Amino acid sequence: MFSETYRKMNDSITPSPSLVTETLKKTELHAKFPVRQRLSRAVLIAACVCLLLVGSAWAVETFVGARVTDLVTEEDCSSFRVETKAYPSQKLMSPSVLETLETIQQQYRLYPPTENRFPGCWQTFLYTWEDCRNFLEVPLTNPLEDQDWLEAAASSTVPLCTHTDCNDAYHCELNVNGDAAGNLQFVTVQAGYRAGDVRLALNVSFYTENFSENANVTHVWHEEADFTLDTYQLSDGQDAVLVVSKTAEGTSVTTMDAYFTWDDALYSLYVIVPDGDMNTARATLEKALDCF
Amino acid sequence: VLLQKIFVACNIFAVSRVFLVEGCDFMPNTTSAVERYGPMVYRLAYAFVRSRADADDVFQEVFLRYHRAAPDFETEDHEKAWLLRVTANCAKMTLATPWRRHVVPLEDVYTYKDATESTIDAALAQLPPKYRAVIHLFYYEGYQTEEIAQILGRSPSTIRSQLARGRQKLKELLKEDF
Repeated sequence: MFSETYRKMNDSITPSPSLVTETLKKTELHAKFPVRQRLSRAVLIAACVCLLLVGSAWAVETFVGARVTDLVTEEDCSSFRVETKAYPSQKLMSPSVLETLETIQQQYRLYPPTENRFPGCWQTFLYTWEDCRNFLEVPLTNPLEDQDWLEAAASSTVPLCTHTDCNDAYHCELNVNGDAAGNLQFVTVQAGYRAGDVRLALNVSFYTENFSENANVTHVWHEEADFTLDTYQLSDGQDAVLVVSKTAEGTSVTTMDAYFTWDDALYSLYVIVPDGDMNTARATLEKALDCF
Repeated sequence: VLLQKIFVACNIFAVSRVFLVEGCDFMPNTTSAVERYGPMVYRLAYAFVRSRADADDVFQEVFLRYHRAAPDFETEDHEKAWLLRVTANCAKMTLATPWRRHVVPLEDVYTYKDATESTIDAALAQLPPKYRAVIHLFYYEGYQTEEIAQILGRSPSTIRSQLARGRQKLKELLKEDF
């Protein structure tokens, strides 16, 4: 019964003719460029072995904090991956988190199909960073809260609301992600700040061993974007990785992010300036990083 | 001896020329692949992401990768498996995007007039994407668990357990319709 109906249902799922045409047009565009030279299998294997050896040695020696890998720049999709070590889920088992995981399990059970909302994610908005700390019962260090030069702003103002009047009532956003079995996958806490026209957001993420062995998250732009990497040393000697993401001219969104770890959590700082002034962005980011 | 050497050299030249010409002329027949496997790719993408817009993105990405990679396939089955593997990877990447929309508009999902189909669709929507993918490859594409394991890059035991859990969940949700 199920098998037959499922087959029938899927027979009606097909790509639209316009999608097929558009896809073929894109491949034609690529065909105008010369076909890449293929390296011989032996050369590729040798290169992979060398990379593996060098990469492993490098990884063992230098992989502390956060690292940015897999930078991809393509015409319609660009991305990079941020990796850090997994955070033990046991450290995050506060009563509020446990309660939330039960809610998430219930979400899976009572998943409303018409909404097509993927279960597993629970989100709340909180007024203060202290509220987040009380919820998670972990240190959740955030020296930005004590900075006179920063004004508390809405949690999700970067980068969408730079030019608009956002509701700044909720300073923090807390997300808990779990699976149907009640395992905690990851928790993120984000707070927004303003320094004049410059917007800044701090995101603290706890990716647990239930999410992946090496906690990693991919940042994707659905357009061509250039990424430039740099580092900035923090007070504890750790190098924060800076990523400047510049989308193609015309859309003119330029952001600067910094990634590092603190108390074993992944810290991400995002800065956006209205006119894409990178000097201001860099100065603001460094000033914020100096607080850690 | 000299003539023999010249003959051998000419042969080598001729062989290498044929090889080079074939190498340079090689272009993947993406149009044919889209025609033959487009619906298969689109269905698996939709099984994962359950959003037409996202399935469209996955579809384009898969065939652009096919075109760029221009893989050499020994058999048609190999080509199918490659496309399904890439589809699964692209769909997973789409789902993992941090700012992916969690709420998809109703017009972005397939709807069914038939009551049984609607019930099954609602039940499938409640499954995690990885279960839906396994169920799709098993029930629609007709792959065995070992083959699904190869396609999705997981162990056969994981696939068997995911299939069993998926079925169990569907049984609970569908009752007599399963």
